[in-house]
Amino acid sequence: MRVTPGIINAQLANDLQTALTALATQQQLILTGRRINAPADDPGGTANALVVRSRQAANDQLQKNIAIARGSLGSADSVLRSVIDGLQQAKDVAIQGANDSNDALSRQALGAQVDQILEAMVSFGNTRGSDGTMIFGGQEVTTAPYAVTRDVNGAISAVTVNARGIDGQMRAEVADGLTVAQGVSGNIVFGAASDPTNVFDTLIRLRDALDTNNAANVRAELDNVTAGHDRATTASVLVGTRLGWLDTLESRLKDDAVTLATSLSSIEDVDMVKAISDLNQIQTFYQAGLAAGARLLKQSLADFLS
Amino acid sequence: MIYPTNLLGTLDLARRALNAQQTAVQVAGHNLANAATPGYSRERVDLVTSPNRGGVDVGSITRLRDRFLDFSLLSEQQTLGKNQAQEDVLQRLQAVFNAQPGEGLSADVNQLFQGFQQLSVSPTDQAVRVAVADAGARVAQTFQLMRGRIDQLKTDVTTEIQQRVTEANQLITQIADLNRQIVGAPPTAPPSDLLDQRGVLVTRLGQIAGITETDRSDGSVQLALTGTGVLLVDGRSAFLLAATLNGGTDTVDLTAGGSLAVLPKSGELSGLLEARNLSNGSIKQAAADLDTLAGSIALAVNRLQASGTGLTEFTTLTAANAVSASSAALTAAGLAVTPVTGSFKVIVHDATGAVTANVAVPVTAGTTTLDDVRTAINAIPGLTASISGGKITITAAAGSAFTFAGDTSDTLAALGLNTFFTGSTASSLAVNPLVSGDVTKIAAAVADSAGLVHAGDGSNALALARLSTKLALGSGTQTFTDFYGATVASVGSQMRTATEGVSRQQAAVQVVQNLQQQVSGVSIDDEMINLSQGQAAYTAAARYATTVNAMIQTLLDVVGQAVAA
Repeated sequence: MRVTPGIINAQLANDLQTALTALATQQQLILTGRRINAPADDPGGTANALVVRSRQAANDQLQKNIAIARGSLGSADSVLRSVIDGLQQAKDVAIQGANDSNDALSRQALGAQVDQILEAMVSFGNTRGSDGTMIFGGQEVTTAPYAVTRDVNGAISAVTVNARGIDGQMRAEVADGLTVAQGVSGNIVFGAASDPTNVFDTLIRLRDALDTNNAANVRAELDNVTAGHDRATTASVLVGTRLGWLDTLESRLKDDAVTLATSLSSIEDVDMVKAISDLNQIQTFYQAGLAAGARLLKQSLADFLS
Repeated sequence: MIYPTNLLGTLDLARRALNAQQTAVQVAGHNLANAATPGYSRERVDLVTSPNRGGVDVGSITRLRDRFLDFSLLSEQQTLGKNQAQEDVLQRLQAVFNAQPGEGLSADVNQLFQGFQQLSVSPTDQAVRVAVADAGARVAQTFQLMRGRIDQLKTDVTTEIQQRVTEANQLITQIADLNRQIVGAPPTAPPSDLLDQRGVLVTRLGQIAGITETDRSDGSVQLALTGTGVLLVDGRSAFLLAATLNGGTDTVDLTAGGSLAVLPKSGELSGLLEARNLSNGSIKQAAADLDTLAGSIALAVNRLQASGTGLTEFTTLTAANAVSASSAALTAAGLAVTPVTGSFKVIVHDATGAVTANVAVPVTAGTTTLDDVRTAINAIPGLTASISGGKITITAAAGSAFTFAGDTSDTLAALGLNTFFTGSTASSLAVNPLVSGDVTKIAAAVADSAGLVHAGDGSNALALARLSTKLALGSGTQTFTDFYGATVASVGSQMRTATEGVSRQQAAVQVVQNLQQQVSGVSIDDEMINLSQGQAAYTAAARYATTVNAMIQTLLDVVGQAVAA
């Protein structure tokens, strides 16, 4: 093989260029910390990373949904506690009112207490959550679920439910394809309007019985009040169970988030130890190449002929 | 060898030796001077002993060149040119799809579906609705931007093709001219430097256009486009290339010699033309993929939006899309989305939200016309419909409002009635101004079976959010993200292949260039040796001439003395 300076020069230029390209690539790897800086670096990995990121985004959103659902269920839970307390009080009043030792006057006083409880129940039923929506209105979040009719004295004579229906549920997706109701319908808490033992009708009848000193009717409503109390307690347990479930789901989503972050890192991130040791190696080669080139380039026979 | 028989002849021998060595030194000098000239072939002086007279003569000056290496270099250079052109285009195409982690189209699409998800949980939250409309607008903008950059790339490549054609034409003309000079050169003076110059031009032309070179006996070369045999240079005739943009087929058409349509098989032009013209070439494929993605996102979202209801309903609504003729079947009325057989429900509510009409409008593919739809809607109490400019307008009686539900016929999405997006391609996608202008129109809810709509119903928004995991593309195998990922991966892997092709081809070119250098390259050491050798021989010949001269002097002295005596 005949070697000319042209061959050496071209070879050297080529090798130095290769080394320099490798240096630049390696430097980019280390500076960005990412092994994929353009789709061509790893086409399959790029596509996988997009999918993982989209799952991460979905996971984030599910966690947000859980937070929102927890907020509205939490509001429902605290109102439910007040409802239960109120109905407990109504139960006590009914038991007291049923006692034959009461006269008409003391029963009227008890009736006034029941009236207050009734007012409170309607107000609880129409509670708005932190986002301004009706907690017990089902999907009818902008209309108060319970409307009252008052008699000439201003006392509640009837409670009517939003005719558009309050059984629909606002639902939040909390896991892939899985939704939970964000609240609980007023029908479950207070009993449906079609049910004569619903809390409002029961309390109206109890108050009227006490007002009219009708001990038999008071006794008759005692069971209904107890049933109403139990119904509210059941609703509270339901809400509590859902809240607990949300905690379980959330911790699973957080586990998933860690897994997703790990797999994204394994797709995209640079192994720093390896990258830096590679950089050192490439640098060594590059410097050696420069040194060899510097020696070779400046020599020819012309330097030695006199 | 026959020796010269007289002293004067001997002096002539010295003269020719001096001449020959001087030529050797000159050639060494020429070689040294051109040591770095691209395409230069070193020359060698072939000295021969003079027959009959004795001494030395310059037999010939040989240009050291291996034609077979020339041909194989030409062929390797063409492939390299094609690879480089492909890499260059793909690099710019890749830049369109390259995004920082968590940014780019895929992230924007995620954001939109996250927005729908959030809306499903808080359907009455105005801020969430604004965020959804914004996310939709960003998706549309990103599509438009990317599509715009691809179109720009297409324009740039067109310009590049034209520049390459101009350069190729200059080369073709120059080569034909060099052919003329080479053929016309006197046989005594072989035009080796012209041959070198022509070699350089041919190699560059090959890099651009992909040519096959054939030597003719008169010293000229014939150049034909590889694979097609179409001549570019034949002797002193030049056949020029021309590139014209064909708007109809959206291609750049190349012709040679005035009219002959050609498609180079290698060289930069081949890489550029393939990327620019082929419908499955990198540029058009990427543009088509973006259009497909934009179209299917728009259709999927619009289908659900059209069958759902926002927080407020319509008192009047005009379709976004016009039909070509209101008496033509909807399936043949030039709509971007083709309706299918099915029906959609129109629901009318009074001021209290109570249902006053809940009517299904049937649509039969190939039969139902926009006129039919108008008639059907006109028959609904409380609604009037009219058609103007191919667009249907529906108006509710005072105090009423209407909405739609359960569209199984895609008619609403096709006509652009109650849609989220307008447009069906990457470059035309936009959020429906009705939605961006009034975010309460985003259909988070869907009317229940009785036709009632509840403000807290987020079921339609949830269905919209779930589109993100729906296998909507690739014959039901890919989600939107999968499809986009495949598009990006395809551009990336083409880029990777091109880069690998370039580096492999560069190595191949280097090998041939090395071989060529071994034959034709100037070695300074060699030439220094030749120079020293020539110098020494010249000195020796001069000394010889001096000696002969002294001998003649001696002879003359002897003869002079004899005459004197």
